[in-house]
Amino acid sequence: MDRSRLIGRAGLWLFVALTGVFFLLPLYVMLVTSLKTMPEVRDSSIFALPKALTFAPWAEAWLHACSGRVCEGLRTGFWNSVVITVPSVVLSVAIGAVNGYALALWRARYAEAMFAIMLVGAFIPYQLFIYPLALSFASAGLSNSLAGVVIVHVIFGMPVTTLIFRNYYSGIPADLMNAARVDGAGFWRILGSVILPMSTPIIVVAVILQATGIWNDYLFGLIFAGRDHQPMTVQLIGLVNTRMGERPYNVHMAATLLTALVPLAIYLLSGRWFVRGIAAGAVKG
Amino acid sequence: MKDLPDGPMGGTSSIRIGDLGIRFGDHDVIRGLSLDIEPGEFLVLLGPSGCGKSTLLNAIAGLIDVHAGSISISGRDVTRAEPKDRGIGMVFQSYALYPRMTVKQNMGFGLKVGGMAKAEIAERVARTAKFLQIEPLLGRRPADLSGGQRQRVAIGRALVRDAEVFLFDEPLSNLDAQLRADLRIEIKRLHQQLGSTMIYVTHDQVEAMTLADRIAVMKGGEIQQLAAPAEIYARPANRFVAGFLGTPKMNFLEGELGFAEGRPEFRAGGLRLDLSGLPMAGRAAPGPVVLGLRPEDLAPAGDGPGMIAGEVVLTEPLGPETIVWLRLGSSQISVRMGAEDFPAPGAVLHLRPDLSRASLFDRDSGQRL
Ligand SMILES: Nc1ncnc2c1ncn2[C@@H]1O[C@H](COP(=O)(O)OP(=O)(O)O)[C@@H](O)[C@H]1O
Ligand SMILES: [Mg+2]
Repeated sequence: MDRSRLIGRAGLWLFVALTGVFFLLPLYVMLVTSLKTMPEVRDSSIFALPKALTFAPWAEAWLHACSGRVCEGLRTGFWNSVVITVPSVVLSVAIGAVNGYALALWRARYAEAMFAIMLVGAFIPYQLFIYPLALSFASAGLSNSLAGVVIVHVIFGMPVTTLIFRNYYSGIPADLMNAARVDGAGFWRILGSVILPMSTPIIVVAVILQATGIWNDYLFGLIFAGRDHQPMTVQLIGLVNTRMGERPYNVHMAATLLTALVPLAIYLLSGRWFVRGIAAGAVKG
Repeated sequence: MKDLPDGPMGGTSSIRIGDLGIRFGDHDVIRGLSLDIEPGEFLVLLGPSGCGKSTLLNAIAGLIDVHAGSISISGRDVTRAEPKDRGIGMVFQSYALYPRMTVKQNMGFGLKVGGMAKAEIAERVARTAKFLQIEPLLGRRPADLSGGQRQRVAIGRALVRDAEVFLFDEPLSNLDAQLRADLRIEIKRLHQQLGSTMIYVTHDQVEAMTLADRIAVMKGGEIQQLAAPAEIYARPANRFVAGFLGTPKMNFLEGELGFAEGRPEFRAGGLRLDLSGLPMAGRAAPGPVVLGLRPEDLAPAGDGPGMIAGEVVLTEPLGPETIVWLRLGSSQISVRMGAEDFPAPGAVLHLRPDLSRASLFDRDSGQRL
């Protein structure tokens, strides 16, 4: 290996190491803090390992911590988040797949224009839409409901999922569609029997993006979900902001980690698939 | 290929295309095209890339909309019919096999969509697979097949549906030369055994010459000539057709058509060629023309009047024959000669043209006189 390659390699490793420290250090601090008792949190350095290991802050965060006047921990929020995330992901990915398929593989009239509008939709800051949307939902009787927040997630997720699927499907040769049409298959049959079976990598990508995005959402949950369906993120903020005497940093850290656990698990378990899906085209070779 | 299996594998249908117009946006790809295809005929659409062959074939298949004219198959107007209702089977250049299905599922897909019972699908697929000798491949995925095997499967998928008309869109262009020659013979045999109507798109004149009952030579969305291969080769309708068929190309000599004592004569520089053996020359008016001579219609001879002389610049020994290239004024001409006794570059060669087999074209329009 010559000199300049060596320097390049060293620079690369330095960058990786710095990035690692940048992201892992806060995680480390949170983890050790969440495993300490409060006296220890107060007295020791934030980088020190716990002397007396305790899981009580985790149990507290999950079962009893107060968010506002309700002291039931984060577990209700967790289930609310599950109930919001699952249908939102399923619907936004399914609709994105159908849209992308229609736009890329059926020469629908005005397909280009519709796609352009959707792209604009994907990049306009959604805060702009929130107020009018909240008003419309109120008049439709959808405010503060599970259906309401799911609809919002689906609407705002759709442009990105459509974009992802359209790009993937535009790599599919027109003759494959033609062959299926000669075989007598229609729009849905071709989608179900020919196209979706080729789509696993990109479905994985879309699901990961949507699942983490929706799980991490705070604003829509706060505005549209209402009291009964508050997602975990909203409860977390409530919990951290509820003050009764001393701030229980260990419980806050545990609660935050609990909330982050789902996206973390998704990335760790599916990272390989994700990379493969991003890199893959629809047609091999 | 095995013998024809029991039962019908396909019927035969006529196809009638009347005044067809196809446009993409405001770009007219095909305008006022008419074409009649006999039942059981093997028609080849031949032309350079981009001339509208696939567009025409896709219109016959019902895969694209036409904006004018009509298409009927077996006397039934199918201009607005869905592809599946036209009784066609189609084979594509890129094979277009369904990647996540096995060969068996690929072949059976159309029947399954059509609602046929499982047992009958299995039986038909098995029969077709046997016919094409692709039984060992039935359990495999397309990714695990070679190019030739994929194209055989694609043919099988078209055959299994008992179509009346088969459409091929450059089915051999993705294969290497040897395989292309093999499959070409198989397709010819397929046509002889099934007797179905077939329309075959290609830009390869060898495929066209060897397979076709009739060739439709296309350029710019228009049919330039529609005739049997031998007719097109011997009497091309214009310079484009003359140049497109035959390797090496027909030789073109620019000159004047004149008459000496009532006998038609081709004049170019000092060259005088007596055209009285060419019936078309006698009927034509004097004026600027292009004389077309195939490389095999020139034979070496001694010096004398009516001979074409040129300096040999290059020889291409092909095995059974040799192509000799000569410089003739500012142009080059080619001559087909024997395998062994051909002249070396630098030599001057005198050639006697067989003018009874020549073609004359108007120099401006390029049309045959
Ligand atoms: N879907 C389409 N949209 C616009 N133009 C097209 C489309 N398909 C084909 N064309 C144009 O029509 C012409 C003929 O194309 P095609 O039929 O594919 O030619 P060929 O098969 O003879 O090579 C080309 O100029 C091509 O650019
Ligand atoms: Mg083509």
